[in-house]
Amino acid sequence: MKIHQPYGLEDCLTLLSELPPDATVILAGGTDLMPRYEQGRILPNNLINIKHLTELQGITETENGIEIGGLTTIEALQHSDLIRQEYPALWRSTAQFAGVQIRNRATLAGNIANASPAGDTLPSLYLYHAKLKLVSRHASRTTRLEDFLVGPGQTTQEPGELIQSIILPKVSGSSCFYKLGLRDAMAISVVNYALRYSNAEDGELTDLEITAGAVAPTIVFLDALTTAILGGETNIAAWQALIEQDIAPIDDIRASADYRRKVLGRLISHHLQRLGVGSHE
Amino acid sequence: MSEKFHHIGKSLPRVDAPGKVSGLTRFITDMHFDSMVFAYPVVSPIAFGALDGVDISPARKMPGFLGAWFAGDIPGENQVGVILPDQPLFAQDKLRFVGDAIGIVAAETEVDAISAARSVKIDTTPREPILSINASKMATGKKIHENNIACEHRLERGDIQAGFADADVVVEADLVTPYQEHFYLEPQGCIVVPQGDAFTVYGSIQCVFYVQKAIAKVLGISFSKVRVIQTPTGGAFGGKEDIPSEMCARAAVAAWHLQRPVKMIYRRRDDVQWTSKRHPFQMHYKVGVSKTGKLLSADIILEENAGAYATLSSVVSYRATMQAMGPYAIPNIQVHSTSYYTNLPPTGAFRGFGSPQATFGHERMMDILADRLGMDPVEFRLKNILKPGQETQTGHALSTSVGAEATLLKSANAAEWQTDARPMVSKDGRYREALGVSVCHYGNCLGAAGWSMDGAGVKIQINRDGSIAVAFGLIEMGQGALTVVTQMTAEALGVNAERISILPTDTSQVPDSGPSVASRNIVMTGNAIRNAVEKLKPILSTAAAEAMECAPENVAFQNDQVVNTKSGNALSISALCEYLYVTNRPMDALGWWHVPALTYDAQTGRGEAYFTYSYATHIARVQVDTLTGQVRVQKVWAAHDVGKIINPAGLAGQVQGGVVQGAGWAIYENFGHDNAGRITTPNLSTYLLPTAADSVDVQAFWIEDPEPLGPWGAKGIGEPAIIPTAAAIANAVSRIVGQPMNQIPLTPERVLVAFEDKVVHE
Amino acid sequence: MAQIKFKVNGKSTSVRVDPDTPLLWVLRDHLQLTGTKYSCGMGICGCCTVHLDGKATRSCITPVSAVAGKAVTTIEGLGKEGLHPLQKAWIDDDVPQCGYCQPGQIMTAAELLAEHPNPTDEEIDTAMDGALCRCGTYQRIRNAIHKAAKEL
Repeated sequence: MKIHQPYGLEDCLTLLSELPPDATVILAGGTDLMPRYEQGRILPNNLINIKHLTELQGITETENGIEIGGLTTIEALQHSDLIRQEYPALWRSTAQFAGVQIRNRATLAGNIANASPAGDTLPSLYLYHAKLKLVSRHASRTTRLEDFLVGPGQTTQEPGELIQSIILPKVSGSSCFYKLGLRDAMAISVVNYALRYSNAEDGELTDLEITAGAVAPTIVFLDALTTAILGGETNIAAWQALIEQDIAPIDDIRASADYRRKVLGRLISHHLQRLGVGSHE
Repeated sequence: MSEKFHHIGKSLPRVDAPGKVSGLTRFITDMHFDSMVFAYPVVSPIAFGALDGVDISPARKMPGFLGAWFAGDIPGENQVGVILPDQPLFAQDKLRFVGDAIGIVAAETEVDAISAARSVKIDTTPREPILSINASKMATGKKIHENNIACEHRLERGDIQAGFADADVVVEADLVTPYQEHFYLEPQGCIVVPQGDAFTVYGSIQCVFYVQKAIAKVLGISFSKVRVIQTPTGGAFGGKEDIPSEMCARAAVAAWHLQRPVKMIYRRRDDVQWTSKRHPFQMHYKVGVSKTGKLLSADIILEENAGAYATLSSVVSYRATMQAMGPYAIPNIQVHSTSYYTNLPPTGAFRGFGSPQATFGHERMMDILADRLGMDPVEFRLKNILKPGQETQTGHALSTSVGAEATLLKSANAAEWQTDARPMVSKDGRYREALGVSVCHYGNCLGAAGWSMDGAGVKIQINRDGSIAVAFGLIEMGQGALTVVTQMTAEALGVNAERISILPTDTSQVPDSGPSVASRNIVMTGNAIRNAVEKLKPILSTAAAEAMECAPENVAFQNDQVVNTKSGNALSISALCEYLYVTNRPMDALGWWHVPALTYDAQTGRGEAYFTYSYATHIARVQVDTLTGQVRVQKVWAAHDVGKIINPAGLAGQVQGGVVQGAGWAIYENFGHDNAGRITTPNLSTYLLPTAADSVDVQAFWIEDPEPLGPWGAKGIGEPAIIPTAAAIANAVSRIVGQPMNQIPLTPERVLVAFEDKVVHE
Repeated sequence: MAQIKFKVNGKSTSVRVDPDTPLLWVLRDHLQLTGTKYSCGMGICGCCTVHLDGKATRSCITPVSAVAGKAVTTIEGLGKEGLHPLQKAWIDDDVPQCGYCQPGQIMTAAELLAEHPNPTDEEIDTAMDGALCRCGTYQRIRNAIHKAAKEL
């Protein structure tokens, strides 16, 4: 196996264009890749270590929102006042992301490229309608995150492409993230969700979006529920079925599909009630 | 006791702490020998079936490959069963679990050895594996060994039918406890160093004498050609009781053929897949009580998943059988225990050794019965708790050191458990809380089933510079053995602890002292120290009298000096030691102690199952998130009857750690396997241990009710620390959700389902 | 194979290894610094924790190529003169049991104290919840960190 250490982005993209794509892997933080040594899986022939590419790190304010360099670490997001104030759901998800040493190395682009259905930053990024800027040696493109992630471990990343940055538009209203794990710390989500809403001055709900993770092959928007609620469906008893329209959980080591359906419904219903939405009729 | 102690009951700082905090303690993985090579086992890829052949040609092509050895290459006997001769060192025809060893490969580097072992092609004819107790029981014509039962135990006392006839309330329940993986953070490891026809073995080992016996048998050599030295052991919890025997014996086969030192360290996922775990139990309890709350009769069926080989199942289930109804007086009882073979990793010793499972059974039953009687759980237990003079369930009348009631009262008071009313329950809101109580007893040492190996030794050697070296036959594995052995030696000799060094446990230093299990170190080694000092004292006193020109009876050992009690003159210990040397006196002594003979009838399970018991009560305050089913343990009040405290700080550390490990078993540790017998939780992302964030606030209390046969009155504590915790948590959760939680772990899913059932029924 | 240069415990060093080798094995097998331990092999337990330019880092999932030109501190190099106050507090409070995880615990706690000289219980839990101890010494670890914070 050969390890490559490109000097800069351009060098990196050249390498990516020249090396055989099926025998090449990009190493960012390494928190998902390196454990494969222990798993006994064979690593590819070429490893491109990009961790030190400083041009891909950092958070920049733009006219329409912010742009986060792909190699920005989860811990850097956790320490950003901008993220905490403007994108609290994302901020919350970084606080609950593994442990601090993993957060120090793990990168936002890595969490996206890994395409885990339970990825902790993903529901918030969906909620904020994140876009990805992808670059290759001769081209660049921007895509919606929800078009990029297509299934567990599957993305539309083209050979030679790298996630350069994550673009978040300005958002209105309040937002938050909730994670349920089997233990308080260092646990993979059984379910997670992010929720954003706005109220009119009289308190009436004017806007509501909810995304959920670990309940389908990719993150999902609970559109059936939010559309119904905005349309006046306040009877909590009806919500569970609406939530279940948009999710397709599976049984795994951590929990059954049944529990995931049930607990997501309970958590979201409880959450909305605390926001003053819904009643038992 | 009015006796004044200088070392007993004091918190001597751990003698092994400086090395452990500086990174200088050398564990087995940190050790190296010249010309050393590495080995790794070749194992069965299937859970059940026939071994048709192996092809080592891929391994031969690997760099650094040195050789591969199989059943036909074993110089001695192909057998490593600890109790029953049912386990080959290398499987020859039948494969019984994923991880069943077939052979061993050696290579120049560790990575090459692992790769070469994994590259060996294994031809098999798989059969559908048997993966549960019930499947094993029902399997007809499909036998893992000659039959599917590994062992059975029975206990019969009184007349249970008459007891049930007299009872006002009879309750039956099924209870289920799961696997627990030890997950000692130091993986299993050893180095076998050949010297001609003799072998020195170093390793992370709980039972050096087991390893000596296993290697001698497998290599066909005498015990005296095998020397086993224990290296600092990074956690064991029972997991390094029997596994090192097979592991070291496999490495020894490679060392025998290569005549080079052979090192073997298991990789984590292999350690989880291949090595022992806590036995899963399924239990059926039928218990009858009078309406005044007196236990009258119990009919108990225990069934254990032994895995592919019997290993220690027979002694684990012996203990569970002898303790099945807890520290309560009950006139009529019948217990029948059966261990079933399955095509899963062999289960074996894990801290508590069958007791946490049995305690889950009897303590859930005590709560279910109290509930049925409308009685407070503590009050109901107090009506039945074993008192001095009463007989245990095996009919053993205990006259001394029965602190069960005292532990229950102590923790109930501390937790402010309200008698006359239900224990605190917050009934509303998302987060609800309750207290749960659990009481246990624990038979000290090996009991009647293991009496023939329940002796242990210690060698005390005095050096002419005044330093004292102590070799003992048991081991330190984190529980604090080195520190308490230092204290007990200092106390017995009347010298400062600084003079004393404890040697690494070594089969060449003391005779076979049995296994370091069953919380037996303090009792066994402490008594052996007193015996050694009894032998040394006359020599020391005579020499001191001679040196100080006084009568031997006027010599006293006090505060690290020898004093002439008549004149007040004193001689330093160092000066005395030099005098011993120049007068050519013997300067060492071997001390020995064994558990007194026990009268016990194996047919009926009646008599002195153990010579004495430790007792404990844990009360847990538990919170349930009724939205998600998540369980959190907020606090545990733990009261333990330890006979006599040797080291308060070490004791508290054992109890804190035991509670955390017990909470892990009760809540988080959800061990799994697939339909092919492969472990689905082979790492820390799938097998969840308690973290610092899940740690439990433990407040510990001590009852000192001295045991006459214990050294200075002391009894064992290492295992009682974990035994009652899970049942206390389950009792609290049952109270909160209003449904009996008779199965652990209490995963959010299991708790939420129970809670919703309750709501539906209401 | 590549030649990789970095500092370990204040001294410059250079090793010739596969650049993807985890730092843990370079420290243990090439530099004989065996205080840093292997346990889970996937960055979860924390036994392999070292400092990389002062940051607590899991050496089992850090390729040695990533430390080129940087400074690594291991448990052997933590105390500048004798034992670090954390190590002393660990001894005073009888923290270690089996001891295998403790170098990683102490390295994790040392970074915490460098950043928060007076940590709250919550800050301790956040920093330490990724460092597992199977003996369950957490209660004492927390107390020992408070004690060392007072010493520093």
